Amino acid sequence: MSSDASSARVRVWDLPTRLVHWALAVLVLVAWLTGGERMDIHRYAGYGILGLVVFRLYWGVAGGSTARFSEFVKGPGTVLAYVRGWRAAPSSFGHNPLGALSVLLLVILLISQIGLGLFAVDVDGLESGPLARFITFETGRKAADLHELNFRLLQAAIVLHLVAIAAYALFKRRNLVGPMVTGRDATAGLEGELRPAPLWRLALGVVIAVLVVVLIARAG
Amino acid sequence: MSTPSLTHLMTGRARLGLTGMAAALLVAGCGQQAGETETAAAETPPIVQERQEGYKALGSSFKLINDQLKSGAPDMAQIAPAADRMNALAQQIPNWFPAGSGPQDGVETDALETVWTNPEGFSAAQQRLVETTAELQQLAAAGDAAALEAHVKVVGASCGGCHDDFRVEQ
Repeated sequence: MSSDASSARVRVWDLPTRLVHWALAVLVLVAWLTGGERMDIHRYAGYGILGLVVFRLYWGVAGGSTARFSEFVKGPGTVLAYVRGWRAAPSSFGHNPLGALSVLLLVILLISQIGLGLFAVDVDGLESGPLARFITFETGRKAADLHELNFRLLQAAIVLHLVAIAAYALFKRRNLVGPMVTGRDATAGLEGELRPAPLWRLALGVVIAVLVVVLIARAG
Repeated sequence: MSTPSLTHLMTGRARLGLTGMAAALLVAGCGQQAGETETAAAETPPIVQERQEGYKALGSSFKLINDQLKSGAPDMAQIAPAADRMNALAQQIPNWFPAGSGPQDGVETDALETVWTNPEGFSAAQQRLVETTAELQQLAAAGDAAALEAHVKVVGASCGGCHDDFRVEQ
């Protein structure tokens, strides 16, 4: 990469958005590998994911401009037009209209996954989510079955996410991974500007996320 | 001493709170799963239904004990009868798997054929649950919360150990 190109790299993702993204990737993997095996670790991974998702929802209304739902979620007409002209579509600054749907899908599946996990009970009645004591064994077993089923959907959505990243690299020569790591995008012709959020908003978000996790973990 | 009936043992399940019922309706409303259960129940032989109910009562009682222990202020007046139910149910297990009630007989069940092909192994696993739940009863009667917390893991392992060899993998 020439020095000219690197000087044209513009800031796209703020640090909290990137940290949440990669922490989610790691913790979902940990939760997957420990589910049904090491329930102590699985529980902490779940609490971590809960905190990250709460923070991400908050950051979606209070964070840097490219993290905000109102900035990237578009109506069906815009999405359809984007899909039709996909090969020729100019590079989006931040999420593109189709990627926005992927973000929403992943967030919704993560929320349902956490919600079901909080109530899930194992087949023996030994291990259970922190809120399972408010429901019966059989209802908790159903929550566990749905927790398993919803995880398959989450896996499918993650595969779709990875396939989309590969498709952008292959057909549009667009590197989407690099900017999610460094925060900067070197793609030519990007139009837009990241308006970062002030530090106090980040601090408030962390406090809210930690509070929610502690309250739910203690309820059990 | 007469053997307590299964219905009597399952009274713990009657403690179905409002929250539980609302959540049950919510989950049942999710379609496919509830539908499957209904069809299965219609074709399931009575003895298979009985053992399914028996295991649910076991899990339900064990959950009650674990919920109590996790609460920080365990109520021995609830734990002790739940431990009694678990032990009595564990003793009934040999009656729940008569010939002709396995997957090899075309019955829709999560029990593996090994229950019938390895009766000694299954009996040993069942005996282990009888012993671990008997100790659970003693600790509950003694009101020893710390020892109970350690022992539920042993009971859980005797559930899991048997499930590994004799039940469809979860």
